[in-house]
Amino acid sequence: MMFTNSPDAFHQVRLYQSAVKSADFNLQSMEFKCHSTTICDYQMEMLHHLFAMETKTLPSLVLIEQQPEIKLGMRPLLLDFLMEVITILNLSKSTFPLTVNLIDRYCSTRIVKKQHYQLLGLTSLWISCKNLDSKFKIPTLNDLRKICVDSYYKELFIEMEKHILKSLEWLVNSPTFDSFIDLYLNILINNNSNPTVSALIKKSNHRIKLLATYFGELFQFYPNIYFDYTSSQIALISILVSILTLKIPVNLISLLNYYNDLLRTKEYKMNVTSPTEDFDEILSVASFQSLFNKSFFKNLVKIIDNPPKSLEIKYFGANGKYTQLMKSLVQCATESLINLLEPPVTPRVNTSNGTTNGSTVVTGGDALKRNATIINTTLPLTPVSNSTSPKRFNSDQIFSDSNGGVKTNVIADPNSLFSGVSSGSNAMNPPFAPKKRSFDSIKESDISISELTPAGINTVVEDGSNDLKRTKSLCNKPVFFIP
Amino acid sequence: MTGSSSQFQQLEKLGEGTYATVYKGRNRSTGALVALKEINLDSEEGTPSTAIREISLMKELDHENIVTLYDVIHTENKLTLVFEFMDKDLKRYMEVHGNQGALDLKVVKSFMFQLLKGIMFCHDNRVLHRDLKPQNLLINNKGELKLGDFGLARAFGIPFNTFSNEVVTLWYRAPDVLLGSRAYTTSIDIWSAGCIFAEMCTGKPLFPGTANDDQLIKIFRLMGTPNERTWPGISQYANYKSNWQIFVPQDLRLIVPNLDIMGLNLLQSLLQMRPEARITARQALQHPWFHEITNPNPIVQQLGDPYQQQSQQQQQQQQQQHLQQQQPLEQQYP
Repeated sequence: MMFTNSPDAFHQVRLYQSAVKSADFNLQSMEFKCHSTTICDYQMEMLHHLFAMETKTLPSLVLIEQQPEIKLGMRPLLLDFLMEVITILNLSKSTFPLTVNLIDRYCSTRIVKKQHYQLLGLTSLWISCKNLDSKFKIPTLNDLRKICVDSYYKELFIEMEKHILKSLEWLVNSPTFDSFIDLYLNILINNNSNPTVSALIKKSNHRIKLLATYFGELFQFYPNIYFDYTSSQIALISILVSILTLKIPVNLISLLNYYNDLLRTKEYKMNVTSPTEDFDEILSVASFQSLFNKSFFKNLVKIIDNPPKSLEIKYFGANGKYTQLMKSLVQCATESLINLLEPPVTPRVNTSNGTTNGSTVVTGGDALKRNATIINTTLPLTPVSNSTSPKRFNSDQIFSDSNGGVKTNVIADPNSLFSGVSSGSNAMNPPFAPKKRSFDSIKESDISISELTPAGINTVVEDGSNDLKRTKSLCNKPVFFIP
Repeated sequence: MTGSSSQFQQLEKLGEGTYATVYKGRNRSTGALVALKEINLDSEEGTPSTAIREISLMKELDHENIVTLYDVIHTENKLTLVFEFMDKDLKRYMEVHGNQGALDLKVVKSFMFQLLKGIMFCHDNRVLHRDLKPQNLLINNKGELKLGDFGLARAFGIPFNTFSNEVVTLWYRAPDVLLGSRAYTTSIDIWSAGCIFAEMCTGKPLFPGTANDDQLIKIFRLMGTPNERTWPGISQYANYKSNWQIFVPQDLRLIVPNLDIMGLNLLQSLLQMRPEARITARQALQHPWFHEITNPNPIVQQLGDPYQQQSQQQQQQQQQQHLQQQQPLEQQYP
């Protein structure tokens, strides 16, 4: 007893840590190692805390589907827009998933009007940016107003921010899938029980992390994956898919079991204080097997090559910092996925044993939902004032908007509701040339169709004031809604 | 989150920070005392990021050594945070109860233990406080110490974002941060804890620097000037200078003469120049200096009172267990 607590019991540990660090003189990587070894002391506690927080901050698909005006089909378009804003503002990588979480959670507590959906999106972005990014990167109210092309008054953002914070009871720090990816990989790398696996993972850590983050971000766009799994599960699925497609010779099932066993260790259970925090596993082997089937891979092949516009800009842009690596990674992933689908030889990992022939991408989701208790009452209305901006709407226009599908006569067409970073075009546009580009004019079924009526859909929107330029083609290739 | 400001009677002002004013308050219905932190809302900025971070982190952190946030009242132009009421901060406590600021070693030990427990809980929940100083440690009249003011705190991930190096009040800022590191980790809170430890013992701040460079020199004067040999990689920090005056490390006993040898060892471990050599909060809590708190009466428990029947029974039970444990051995060697 005395011996283990002798003042120098940790001297060796510290000496070891110093030795690890002094072996590398590159300051950045040195400090990173320092941080990750320090984290080792805390990782089980952190894992537990993230899980506990996750259950407190889950959105509910049932409640979101009750929204009278917001359709799930609008979600990917909003996210696409927000992702692009985030890329342009160069915000942290957790900002996007946190924004998505805030939007979905708010939509699970209050009714949002169609014309406020973008306001909700931008304000959520603002909040998560304030929470995560350095203060120099936080957009000002004027920036926000410009980003949405004067769709909303400044005061509306302030008002909306207040509603969001209040409705979410100020629980803003929801754990995002990327923090789980980081933690999972860190645990695996520092795991001494299986040195060959940790060495393999360590070697391609950067590639796995990048690809897994890409998968995770992709999944945010697909309600049928996103809402069936929690962030911790999405992170795990992303890692497993990355390992599988990068052909790293690690047995996925045993890796999955390794992670599930973490939750059964003494170090983890020590932190558990209430039964609601007590999970036996992250992702059950059964649900893993039912997910990793042919149709899932088929859809993956489709979507990784054809991501939403914003992700394309982020990862495959002409001079993006990931472009080279991502192209090779995605090519590698596509090849191995195609190999899995039409195996020249039996795939290395025995995952698609079930061959459930399921036409749905996600099956077995029910088994793994850890939904918090849902109160199935009607949602209260967002008390944001009705008018968005006088330039664009007045009340009867909003009415005609929602009553009749015909909106050729709407003068101030809401088409630039989601027109993105810019479009000073709207003011220039003569009122007799309405464009059919708003969300409400696109039915859910339309979104999955590759080509829609040509005129006015592919519009190039240019921004004069900033150097924020982008090509906007909303309905050109929206494969990202899996029916 | 349903409170309104009329629910609380505002009493005297307790303090003023950079972005908030703290008042003493009284709950009109229960008469209970609270601390009201009022934040003025800017019409351009919306809710300040410090407030968003502070509130969401405080709602996550529920621990006996962290101040409890009861309620948030959001009005048109003001945000009021309702905290549990604490009598004094540590700075004031030292002025009132200390011998010229220096506290009794028993009190120091109790406060240090609680401080480290609070820090450990933050780090366990992936939160860095980043602003530990006596003014932010609150003491109530039961002698409980709690961490307050999470305005600069934030959650950290595994690959940390680079943080601003303008955190932690200068006197409690770690040398790696002073040198320009922006990728610091949990170790910066530990350095602050070390500075506070020494300050409680002596009543005077350990490194009362006036500017960044002055602060570094004050640290070097005591801990010795680092070089590539004692701190590999130091020359790559932004604020590194090759012409620093050379100091040799001093014995901490000269600075903190009243502290016993175990305490000095703990202080030394907390005040390591290199961040990776600094002890963690969890390790520090197991330090033998805290044995009288973690294991108050070890000898009495082990020996028991031979004149009390109960303890005799316990002893017998212990002996029986002891025998049972030995049995397999005896079976092996009959």
